[in-house]
Amino acid sequence: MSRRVSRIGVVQLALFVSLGGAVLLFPAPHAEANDNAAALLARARTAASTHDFVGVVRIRWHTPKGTQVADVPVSSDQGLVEVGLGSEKVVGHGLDRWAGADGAATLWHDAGPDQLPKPGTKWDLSTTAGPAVVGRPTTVVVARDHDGNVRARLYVDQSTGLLLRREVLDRHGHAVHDVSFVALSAVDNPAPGQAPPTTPRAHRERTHDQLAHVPSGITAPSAAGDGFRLVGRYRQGAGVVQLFYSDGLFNVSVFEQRGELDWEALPVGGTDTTVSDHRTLSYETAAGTVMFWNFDGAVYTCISDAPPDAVTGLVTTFADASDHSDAIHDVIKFVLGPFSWG
Amino acid sequence: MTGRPFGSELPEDALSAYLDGELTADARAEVEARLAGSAEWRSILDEVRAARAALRALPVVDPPAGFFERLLAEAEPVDAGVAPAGVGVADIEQARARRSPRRARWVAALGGAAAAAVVAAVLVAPRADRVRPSVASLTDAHAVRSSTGEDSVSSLAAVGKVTGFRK
Repeated sequence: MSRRVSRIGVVQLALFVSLGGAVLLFPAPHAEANDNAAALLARARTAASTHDFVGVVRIRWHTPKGTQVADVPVSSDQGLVEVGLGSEKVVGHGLDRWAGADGAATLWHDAGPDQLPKPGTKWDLSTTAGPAVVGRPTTVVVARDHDGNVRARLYVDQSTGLLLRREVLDRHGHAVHDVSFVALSAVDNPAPGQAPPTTPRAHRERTHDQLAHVPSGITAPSAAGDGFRLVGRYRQGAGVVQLFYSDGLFNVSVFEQRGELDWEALPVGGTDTTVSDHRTLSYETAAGTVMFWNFDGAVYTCISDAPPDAVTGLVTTFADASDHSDAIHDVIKFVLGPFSWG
Repeated sequence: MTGRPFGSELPEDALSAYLDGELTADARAEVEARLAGSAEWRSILDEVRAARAALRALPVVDPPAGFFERLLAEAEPVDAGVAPAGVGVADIEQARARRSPRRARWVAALGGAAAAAVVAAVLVAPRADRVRPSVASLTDAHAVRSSTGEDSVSSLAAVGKVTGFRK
């Protein structure tokens, strides 16, 4: 009897060990797919500055008036990326950006956002062979939400890693925004030994906009909506603070300033909704969703490349977090306090 | 504000006058030409507009009923020989004897300063105004920040393409 029991024990142990070994040697296909997709996305983030090319990208977005289209010339020369023309031109090199007036009006330089979240934390990522885009074979990174709905497809050039197309879908699977190369030529690695590119000379510099902390009176939750993390805080003009959020795949900027929103000045055609008892007005644009809301003496302008419904979650977060001290009111109280009327 | 050129003038002053509609036709045309040709002037215009909006967002506080009367009552009773409210009626000569002219001047000065401060707070600070976010510049800022962590081409492609929002 005891010999039989010990034999069963040995068999069970062997099975356990072999199963454990299999798990270690052959990780779950899901995790492997996530890692592959994340690696492709990481490569796509830098490919535009590591390959020389000339091309045109087309932005398409959908509004109540119909599908809108804008074509934008782009090029990269030894890491100097140029996007657009004339006053709409932006030049990028490393962390520097020159914008406006042929890419020479303003130099933006900041250390960049904090470490971005891993996209696989929120999104279920997978890869599949994709169609050719501008004649180049692609691998598609597919991002699904918690419910299994596809919310983004990113078409990555198999040979260079360039992001050739980026589609954003609503929760019903309809494309709401996409950016895609429609022409591309001369994709090469930079030739060795060439002179470094000449960067523009800006008339104005914005080099110290990054804030270690937000000013008193500004609502800045460290996490917002569904999986967005605060990864950057910047000064944006007089009295406006930019809060930059990322979920690893999409980015959201929330611009906050004191005052009352002039709703009447906003164009017609926006989507008027109520979120957490607060009115919001949103628009689909070339840059993605632009949403406005206003409460507690603060005006919020949110700009996001995420699916439109992802933005509404941020409104709820800010509404919940808006129980903050109002610095301006404090100052007025301090100044007028000695008169102690009433 | 006259129609002189703005070469030596701070753009903020010219742009503030421009927003207030204080410029002559020639000066206004010159500012608009500068705005059309200079992204820097357009950027400063956005900042001036934002600063004015922030100032106008300050709350307007109305003083409680009788505030000015109480303030004046504190400053005036010396010459009139009337004691402050609550003290009771006093003989004019006694009141004059109690309050020296020097003290009266101080009280009057303090009262005047207080009144001036209140007038400044209530009247000079403009009423809460409406904010019109500068969507074009905010969109550019979002694109620039996004492009340092993401693919620069798709992040920057929309710069200058968001139109239709009133400045």
